[in-house]
Amino acid sequence: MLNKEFDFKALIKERGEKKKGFVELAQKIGGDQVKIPYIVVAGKKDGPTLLVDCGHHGDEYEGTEGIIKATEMLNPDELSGTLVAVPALNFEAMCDGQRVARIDWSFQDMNRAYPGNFDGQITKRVTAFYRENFIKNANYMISFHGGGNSLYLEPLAAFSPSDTSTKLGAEASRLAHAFGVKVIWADIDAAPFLGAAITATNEFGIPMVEPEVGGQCVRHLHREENVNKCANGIINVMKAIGMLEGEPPKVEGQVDVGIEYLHTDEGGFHQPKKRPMEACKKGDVLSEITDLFGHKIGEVIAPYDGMVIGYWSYSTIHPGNWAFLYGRKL
Amino acid sequence: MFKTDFNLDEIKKQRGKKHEGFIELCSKVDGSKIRMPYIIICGEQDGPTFLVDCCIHGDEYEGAEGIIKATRSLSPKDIKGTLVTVPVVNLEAFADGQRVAKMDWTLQDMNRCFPGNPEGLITQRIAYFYTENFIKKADVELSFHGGGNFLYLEPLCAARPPRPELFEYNKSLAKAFGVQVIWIGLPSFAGTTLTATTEAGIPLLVAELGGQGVRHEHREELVDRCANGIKNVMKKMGMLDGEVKERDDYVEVKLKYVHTDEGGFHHMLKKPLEAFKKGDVVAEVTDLFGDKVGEVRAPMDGVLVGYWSYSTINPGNWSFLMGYTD
Amino acid sequence: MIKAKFDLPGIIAKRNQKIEGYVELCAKVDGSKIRIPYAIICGKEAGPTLLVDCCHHGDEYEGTEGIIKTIKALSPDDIKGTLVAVPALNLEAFNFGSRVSTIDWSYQDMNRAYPGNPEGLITQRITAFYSENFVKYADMWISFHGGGNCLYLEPLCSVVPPTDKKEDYEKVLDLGRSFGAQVIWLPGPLPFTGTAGTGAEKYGVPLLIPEIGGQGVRHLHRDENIDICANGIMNIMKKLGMIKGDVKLRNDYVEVKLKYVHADEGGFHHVLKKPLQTFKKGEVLSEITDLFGEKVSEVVAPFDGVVVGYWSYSTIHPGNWAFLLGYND
Repeated sequence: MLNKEFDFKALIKERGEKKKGFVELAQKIGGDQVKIPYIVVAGKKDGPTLLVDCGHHGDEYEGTEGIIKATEMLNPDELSGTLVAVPALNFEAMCDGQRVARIDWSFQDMNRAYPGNFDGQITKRVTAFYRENFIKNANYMISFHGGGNSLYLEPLAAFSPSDTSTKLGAEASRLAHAFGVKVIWADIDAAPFLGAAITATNEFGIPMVEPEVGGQCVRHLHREENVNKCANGIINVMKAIGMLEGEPPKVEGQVDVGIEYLHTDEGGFHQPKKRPMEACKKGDVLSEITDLFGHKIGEVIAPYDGMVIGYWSYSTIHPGNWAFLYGRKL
Repeated sequence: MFKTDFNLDEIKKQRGKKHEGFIELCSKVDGSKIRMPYIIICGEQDGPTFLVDCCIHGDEYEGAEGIIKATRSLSPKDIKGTLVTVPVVNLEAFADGQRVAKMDWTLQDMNRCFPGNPEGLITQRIAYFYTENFIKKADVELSFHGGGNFLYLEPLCAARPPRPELFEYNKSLAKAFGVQVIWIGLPSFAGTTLTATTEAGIPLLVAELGGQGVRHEHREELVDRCANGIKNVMKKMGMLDGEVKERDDYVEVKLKYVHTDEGGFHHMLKKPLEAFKKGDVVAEVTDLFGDKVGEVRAPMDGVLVGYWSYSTINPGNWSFLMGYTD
Repeated sequence: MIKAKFDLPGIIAKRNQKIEGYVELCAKVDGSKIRIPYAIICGKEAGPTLLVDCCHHGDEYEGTEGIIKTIKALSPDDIKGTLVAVPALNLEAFNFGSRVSTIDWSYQDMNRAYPGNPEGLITQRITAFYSENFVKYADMWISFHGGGNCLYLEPLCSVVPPTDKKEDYEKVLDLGRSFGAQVIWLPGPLPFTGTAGTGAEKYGVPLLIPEIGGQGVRHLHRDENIDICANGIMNIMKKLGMIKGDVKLRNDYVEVKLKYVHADEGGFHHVLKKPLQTFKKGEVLSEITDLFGEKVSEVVAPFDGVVVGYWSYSTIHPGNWAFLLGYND
C-alpha cells in the first residue's frame, strides 16, 4: 500500500499559512517517484475544506494554471477554512502530454478508475490513495477538465449529484452556477461511463463541480482568458461557500443543459458544419467525414433539437471516437 | 525496395485527364498496405509539372485540406501543364495524428530522411520512392508544413533554390504564394526535402500554415490560404490564367530556432511578428507551483515568427522561431 | 454503429467449402478499413461450429500461428461441422505489436470491453460486432492469449462455463483437460470485468482460454508453443466429434484458481521462483532493485500456492503485476 505515513489532517492543521510539496507514492524504474503535487492555503479562521484538482487527464492544462494563479491570489489572513489544491493529479500522464498515462500495463483512464484499487496497477493505486486521503476529507470539491489535445469544449460547469431535489444536488447546482460560466451541464450523472470521480464525491456526500475549460485548439488566442476563467471560478465558489468575503458575480445568460456524446461511424477528415452554441434541429448534419480525395464517407446527424456544446476539433477523427458533445435545454 | 509499377511519366502522357488513387508500396503486419495517395490533373495543354504535397509530418493538416480543395476546384481544361499532388506523403504518421510514424524500429522524422534509402527503414524507403518517382519528375515543388500539434507558426513561405542562380525566381514564386513572411536562407537540418530538390535541380517552396493551436477559429481560413496559394503559384508559372498581385508588406527573414533549457509551463512574452532586441526575455518557464524555473532569451535582434504553443514544454524542445536579417 | 454485414449462418449453411477474407467494418483516417480477418472450413457433413481466435491483445502471437497452421492442415473432407477462425481479432493493436490499440480516444483493452457497444469507441464497436456476428453462432469457443511482450506464462488452459449449472462446468472442464496443457485455470474471482467470458455467457457458449507463449521464450520455444496451440485445437475438434481420433488425457494436471499479485515499487524485477514451483505464505517471490543495485521492494506470497506466471521483462513499473499465482480454496 502506498505511503502509509501520509496524514491529510496534519497537512492542513496549521492555520494562516501556505505550503506546497509532493506526496511520494512509489518508486519508478528511473529512481524518481510517482507523486501527487499539492498546494495548501490554510485560512487564519476555521471553515470548510475545499479540494480543487486538475489533471485526471494529462492533456488538460487551463485548470492547472488557474489553480496556480488562484493560490497565488489568496491571502490566508482573509480566508476562512482551507483550500487544498492538486494542480496535476495524474502526474505521469501530464508529463507525457497525453490523456492517459503509459505506465500501466493495461492503459487506464484515471477518470474511469474510481474507487481505485490499492493492489492494482499504478493509476488505480493513485486513484484509491487520492479518494481515501483527499476526497474523503473534503467538504466541497472542484475537479477541472478541458478539451485537451483534440476537443473544443464551450466553457461549462457540470455538477453532481444531478438530482436538485436533494439537498446535496441543490448545493452542487448552486456552486456550479456561481462558478462563472454560462453553460451548466445538469445531467452528468446520466453520462455513459463508470468509475468517474463523481462516484466518490456522491458516496461521501460532497457537492462536486466539474468545469470544462480550454484546450489546445484555442490555446493560441484564448489561453490567458481561459486560465483566468478557472482562477476566478475557484474564487467565486469560495465566496459562495463563505470561505471568502463577498458574493460571486451573477452570470448573465446561463443555460442548463443535458448533454450526450455523439460518435462517428467512419474515420477521416472531420468537417464540423455547426458552431458551438448554434441551435440545431433533429436531422441536421452536424458534421461530415471526408476521405483523402475530398469524398464524403460519413455524417454525424443531430438526434433531436438541441445545440453543439463541444466537438472533435482535431482535423482527423478515428472511427468510433466521439464527434460531438450535444446538448438540449433542460 | 518497393516493387510497384507506378509511372508518373505514363500518367502525364494522358493529357486532359484527372487521376486519383493510392499507390501500394508494400505489405504491413496486418495484411494491409503502405500506400501513398495522389491526385493528378493533366491539363489539356502542355506546360510545367508542379508537384504539391503535405504531411511529410503526420500532424500538419491545413495543406492537405488545401490540396484537396484546390484539386476539386480545377479541371484539365483550366490548366496548362500538370498539377501533381500528394495530399499526404507520410500516411502512417497521418493515421496516428503524430509528426512521425511509429513503424520504424528506430523512429525516423521523414523530413530528415531525404533523399531516402531504398534498402533502409520504411520511412527512409518512402522518402526514396517519393524522391525518385515524384520530385525528380517535377519542375517546381511546393511542400506544405504547419504548426502541427504543438506549435504556432505565422503563415510563411520559404524559398529554397537548388543553386544560387535560381534564387530570385524561387523568391518570386514564394512571394506569389500570398503570405507575408518569406523565409530566405537554408533550413537548419540535413536531410530535408531540399536535399532531394537540389539533386533534382528544381526550385522548392516550403509553406508553413495552421496548427492545432489555432484550429478552432482559423481552420477554414487557413485551408483557403493554402488552396489559393497553390493557384497563385500556378498563375505565376503560367499554368493558370490570371495575374498575381504581390503584397507590399513582405517580411523577408532568415529563421533560427531557440531552445529552452528547462521544462515546465511555457509562457510567451512576445506576440507573433513583435520585434525584440538581443537579450530580451522572449519566454518564461514555470513549475507546478507557479515558480519560474527558466527563461528563454533572444540571442540577437529579431522578430517572433513562431513559438511552442502547447501549455507545457520538455527541456531542450524549441521554444520559439525567430526571424532575423544579417 | 457499424453498417457492415457478415452472414456467418449463411456461410455455415453452405457445406464443403474453405474460404478466407476480411470483414470490412468502417473507414480509418488514412482511407483504409478497420477489418477482421477470417478463415472458415465448412466440412462436408454438418456438425458443431467451433470458433477459434487470437489477438484480443495485439502482442500475443503463438495462438495466431497455431490457428494458421491448423487451417492450412485441414480441408472440408476432414471435418464434420464448421471451423471458424479469426487469426487476429484486434488488428489495430496487432499491427503495432502492442497489447491495446491506440486508436480509441480513451484506450480500451479489448478483453475488458465485452459485451461491447455498437455506438461506442472503435474497440467497443469491434467487440460488439464480433459478439453479434461470430460468438453468437458458435457451439464452442477457444480464445487464445499468451504472455505477450512482458510476461512469462506456463502453458495453461482457462475453463469458462457458460452457466452456473454443474453439468456445464463438468463439460467445459473435460474439454479444458483435452486441450493438452498441464495447468488448468479454474473459474474464480477476477479483479476486472468485461472479458470474453462475459461475451460467452451472453450466448451460452462454453469457452476455453489457453495462454501459450510470449516474447520471453520466443527464441527457443516458438515452434513448440505454436504446436501446442495447433494440437490443442485438433484435440478439441476430436473431443467434439468434428475430426476422427481419440484424445489421450494427461496424468499430471495442476488444477488451480489464479490470483494476480502486483509490485509496489518499480525497478529491475528479479524473480526468485521457477514456474510451477510451490511456495508458502510469506515467502519472497521476487525482489525489485534500483539503478544502483539497492533493493527497494519485495513481492511476498500472500498465501500457499504455485507460480504459474510472472513479469519476465527486466524492468517493471510500480503497480504492474509481478506474479500470477495458483491456489486451491
